[in-house]
Amino acid sequence: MQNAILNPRTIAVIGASRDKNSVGFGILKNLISGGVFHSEYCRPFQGKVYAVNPNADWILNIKCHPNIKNVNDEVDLAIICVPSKLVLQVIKDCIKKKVRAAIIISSGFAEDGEEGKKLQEKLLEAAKGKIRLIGPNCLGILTSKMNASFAPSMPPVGDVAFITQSGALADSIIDWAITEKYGLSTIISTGNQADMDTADFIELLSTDENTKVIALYVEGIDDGAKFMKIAERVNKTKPIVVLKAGRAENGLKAISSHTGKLATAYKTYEAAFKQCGIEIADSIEELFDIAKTLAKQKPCRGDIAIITNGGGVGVLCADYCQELGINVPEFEKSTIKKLDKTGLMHPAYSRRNPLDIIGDALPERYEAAINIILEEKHIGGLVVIQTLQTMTNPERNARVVIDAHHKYPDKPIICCFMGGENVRKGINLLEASNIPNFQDPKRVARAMQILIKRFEKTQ
Amino acid sequence: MKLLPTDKIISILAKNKIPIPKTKLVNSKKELFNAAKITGYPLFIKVNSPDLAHKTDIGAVKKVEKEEQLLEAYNQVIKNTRKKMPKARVKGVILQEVKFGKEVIIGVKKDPQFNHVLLFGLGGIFVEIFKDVSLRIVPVNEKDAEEMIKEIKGYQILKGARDEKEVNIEELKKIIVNVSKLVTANKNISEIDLNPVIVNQKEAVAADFKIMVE
Repeated sequence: MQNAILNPRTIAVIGASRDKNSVGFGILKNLISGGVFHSEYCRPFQGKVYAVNPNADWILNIKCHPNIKNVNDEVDLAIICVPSKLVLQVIKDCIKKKVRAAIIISSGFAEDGEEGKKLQEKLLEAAKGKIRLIGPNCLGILTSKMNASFAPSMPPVGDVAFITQSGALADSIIDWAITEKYGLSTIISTGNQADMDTADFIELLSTDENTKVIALYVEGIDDGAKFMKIAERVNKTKPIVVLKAGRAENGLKAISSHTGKLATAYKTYEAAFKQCGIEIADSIEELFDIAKTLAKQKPCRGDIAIITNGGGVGVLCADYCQELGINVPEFEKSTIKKLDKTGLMHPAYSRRNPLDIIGDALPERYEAAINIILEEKHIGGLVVIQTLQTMTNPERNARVVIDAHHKYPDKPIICCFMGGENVRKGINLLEASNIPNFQDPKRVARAMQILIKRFEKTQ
Repeated sequence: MKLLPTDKIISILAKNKIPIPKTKLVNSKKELFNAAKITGYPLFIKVNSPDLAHKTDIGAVKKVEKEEQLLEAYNQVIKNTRKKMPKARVKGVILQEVKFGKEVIIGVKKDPQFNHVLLFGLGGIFVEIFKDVSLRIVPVNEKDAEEMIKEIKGYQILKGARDEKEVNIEELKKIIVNVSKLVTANKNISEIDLNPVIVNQKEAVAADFKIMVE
């Protein structure tokens, strides 16, 4: 089933449309070109694409079939975007045609009152054991090989999979990912989860070679026990991060007991997530920060060091580390001696952790400091902070960090190259070498905390 | 959701090794003084009613220091209840030994997605104002119970801040695990509220208890 959904050979768009403003047109266009909004990451689907529309002959140079049954080929995946009332018949046709999975884009089901709910139940009943359903009421699926969705574009290819209960969120994340060069392996919009739910998709991605980390946006989980069982197992080898919506407890009914009042729905979710060992993110930004960090850096064994050319940012970072329970220990005397001996340190450098190597630090000083500190046995990970001074060289500093990372691959490095356009190239170099960079030392500290927790969990 | 009658709750708690202070149900004035001999003084007198969720607020609970005050307290709590909650069914009163120690809350709620979730926190005003609680999806084993206790910010208070001695954490753990076992075996329990559980160096007892079933 994994192949039919994530790596199909043939896809049929049922409800393909000539109307440029319709979803049925957008999906077909996305499949054959990668995206309606062109980006350098758009790739046409390399397998066969079939269009089904009884009223059209050709759309986008693809011949239309009146019904899926008329397609003279095996179809792995159907994408359905006909009005909700027609979906049941289309699914029955797909079953006859032995289509293995169907993405139902159409809305008008459980999200749309009693009628829709009944319709969704009928769908599920018809599909049971015969075809797997994604959706209904979803955006579709994107992988590095296909845009089987009506998302406007394709993101850069990377290691993070995103399973989302909000399709609209995925759309904007894709555009953001293009700007930020944030790599994604797969995006799955779960929709109403009539058949396949978040847990099923986690299972699906657990064996996907292109996915190293799974990021979740969750509004609700129907089968808590199933989710916990699958998430706990998969998280052991493939980290899972979750952002859960619905924290506010508005309109909570008067409840007689304290327990009833305190064990809110969100707190219960939080407990469940903690129990299966998955990370909980506080915001969209944090969700993708954590996912990127876990995808790009190894778990961190214990204490960390901070090297900075700006005292203030170093202190801020150390503050955040302390708040998150991260140890920023003193260096050995021998380490300070080694630093002194290089002759590259400023007379006023801090001689302690965080190591402030002073604003006039050139790449050579960064290099000496980074290598000496990473040599130290009790340091498990490193934060490198760079503020932009007149003599600062972000690109060369980035190369210094990258070289050191190659030399000490087991000690994770997170960077905080702060600034805008003038540090952009340095940051791009770091990110391209799998060293995450965050603009705010608070995000850096959180990333380090995640790597330390991962180390403790996987021991 | 239905609140179980007090006598039923007491027998469920006893069966599941969840200790409570010496407690006597009293149906009439006549039995009052004999019952008090069993609990001893000081004691709490509480109106026994399935319709009262928060007894203290309406004066349906009083602390009685000595025998001479007992009858007066009895009349008072009944009167208060009749006045403030005229529709409440009154099934006599409960006499209960007064225990001293720190207050914690141990409770369970049935969640539509995750089934029973167990809650632990510091009791009294701490739970109301700071909401300093930890939760786990049931089943909860001894290790989980220990984590739950250590997870709350108020753990330092239980451990004994300044010159105070540490409370009996082991006894708390036992109650948590036994509550978990109780709801695992009884799927129809929708809510349990042991609030407060009084814990001191020696023991932990559920001084007030509610069990709701579907």
